[in-house]
Amino acid sequence: MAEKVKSKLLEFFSTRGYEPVHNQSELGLPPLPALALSDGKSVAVVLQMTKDELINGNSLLRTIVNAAAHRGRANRLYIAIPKVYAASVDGGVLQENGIGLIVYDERRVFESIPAREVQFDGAAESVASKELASELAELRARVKSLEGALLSASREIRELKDAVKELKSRRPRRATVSAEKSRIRVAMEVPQGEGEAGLPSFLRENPWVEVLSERGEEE
Amino acid sequence: MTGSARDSLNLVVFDQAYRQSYVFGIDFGTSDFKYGPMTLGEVPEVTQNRGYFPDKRSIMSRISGVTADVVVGKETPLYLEAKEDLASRLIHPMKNGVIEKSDERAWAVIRELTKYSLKSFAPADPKFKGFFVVGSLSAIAPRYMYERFFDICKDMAKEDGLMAAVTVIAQPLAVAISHKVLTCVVIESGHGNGQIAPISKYPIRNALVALNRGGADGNNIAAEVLKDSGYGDLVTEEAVLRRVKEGIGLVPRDLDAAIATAKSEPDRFRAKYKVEGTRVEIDLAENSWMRFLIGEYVFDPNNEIFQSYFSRGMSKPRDVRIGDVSFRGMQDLGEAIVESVERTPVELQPYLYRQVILSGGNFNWLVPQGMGDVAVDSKTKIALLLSKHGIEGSEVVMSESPQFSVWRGSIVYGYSVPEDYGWTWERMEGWVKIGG
Repeated sequence: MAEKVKSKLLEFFSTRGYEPVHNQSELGLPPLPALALSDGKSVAVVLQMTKDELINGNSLLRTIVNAAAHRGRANRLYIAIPKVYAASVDGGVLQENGIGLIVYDERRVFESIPAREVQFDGAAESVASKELASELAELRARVKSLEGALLSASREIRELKDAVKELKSRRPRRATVSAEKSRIRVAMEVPQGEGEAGLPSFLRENPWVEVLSERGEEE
Repeated sequence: MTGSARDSLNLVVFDQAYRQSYVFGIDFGTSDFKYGPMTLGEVPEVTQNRGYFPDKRSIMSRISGVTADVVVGKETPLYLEAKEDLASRLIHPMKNGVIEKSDERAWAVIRELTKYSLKSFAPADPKFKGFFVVGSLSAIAPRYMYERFFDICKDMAKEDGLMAAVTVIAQPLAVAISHKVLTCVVIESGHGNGQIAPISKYPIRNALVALNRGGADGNNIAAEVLKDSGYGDLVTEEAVLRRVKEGIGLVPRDLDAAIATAKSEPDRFRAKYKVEGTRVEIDLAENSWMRFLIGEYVFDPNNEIFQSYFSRGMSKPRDVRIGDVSFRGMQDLGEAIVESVERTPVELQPYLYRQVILSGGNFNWLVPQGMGDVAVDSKTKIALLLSKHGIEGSEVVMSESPQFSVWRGSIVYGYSVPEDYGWTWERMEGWVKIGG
């Protein structure tokens, strides 16, 4: 985790009475790159998503799976992301899984979605483990099903493109117009149609996104 | 965390997601009209920036049941009637990047094209509350063009609710954005004119230099070349001229040397071109050296050889003044860049020269195989012209797809500028909310 971001997050949590846990293994936490904090009564774990992970379509699900590895020992789980990438995160998925979302920019850190607190005792832990195992299995199934849907959509787009090409070659004028209309509809129905990243190449890694998103703030 | 902070953050999260689907770019290029939502990905839809006003009294119009006052879009060719009427009935509204305030026909075309573009993508989604429309206009567009465009959008929003908010971006800024460069000089050369715009996070408006020369002037010289070679009957159709210009025109490294070489090796430089889908075939034969005039004229029309064309009646690119902007007719592109950059603070100038971006369909010049000794591409020509004026080491880059860079920049702009940032005339940016 980048030192600058880490220090912002520490500052944010310190206002809530949390201190960093220096030896994560003492709490039984797995050695994942995460920030562990404690207020003496409960433990919070924050996973930061990197820019590369954010532009990968399945990254959120993967991070959720990683976060689940902390479930047995952490009372609250958070994912931290830069504000400019907030649009690419589906808050509903996080809420369903009780995972909080921390969003930060140069100036501020916010808790966008609160994390659901999990209490531990022997029996509850065992139940929680079972729940987690079941959630993991469900998530795996959803990832698999999403992959299947993506493959199927790609195949359909390819077939539509072939059909458009064939129509264009068969009929000179009017067929061209109607084929183009078909393509328009396809484009609207596949909002994440640009491969892995989900965003067109001219938006990815574009410094203007940050510059423009600050327009109006200086006033 | 306070409730209000939470609320505002949630707004960012969910509104960005909405805009990811419904940001809509519209590029009123001088020749082509590029349009479409962000969901199209890399490439927008393209149709010609023109509208046809059918003669409703004609028998053909009555038979085919034409009811619209103006026809726009991809089906326009199906409505075209007599060749003689084309000049008066086929309107290219942005021919010079500026529409006169009182040119009602041109504004009617803009209105129809805007409507046509949005309707092409009108979604059935019940959550749809209108597009965030980013229109791009020439950097020299006067304030009344912005106002008129906003008025058109507001009227349309009342009719069909396809717009939530609208903004306008200057085309060179959109080019810089699509190239991911924060400090640079953008040269946008279109059909009717060119703009040299230094950018440093904002367009530096008082350093803007406008040229009254563009692709249309390339067409003019191509017409003269065709007339001299016995194809005078083809020069009345602008679309044909454009294709011929692109098919045979070349940019010389040095015009005099290129002409001498081409005259001494006529077979190597022979210019032949067949207009696709027709029986028309052009062969410049012994006049093939003239193909170099076409490219040179666009970049630098000051060679003595062009005087003979001016004296025979070819219109010379004139210095004109539209609104507050002076358009230079005969300034070479290198000199225009230097003039523009020298209007900015001295400290900034080296950073601006560092990257020069060429955009617009007027820079699409090819170097055919085996002609690299005398013909060059646009990047090299601009670097040579800059060097002529004492600027060395500039990185001149060509947009990967110059035709689409303005649309792409418009999409990034619409995606990024905060929704709650209202339009400001001082900065010429922000959103005008009109629906949703």
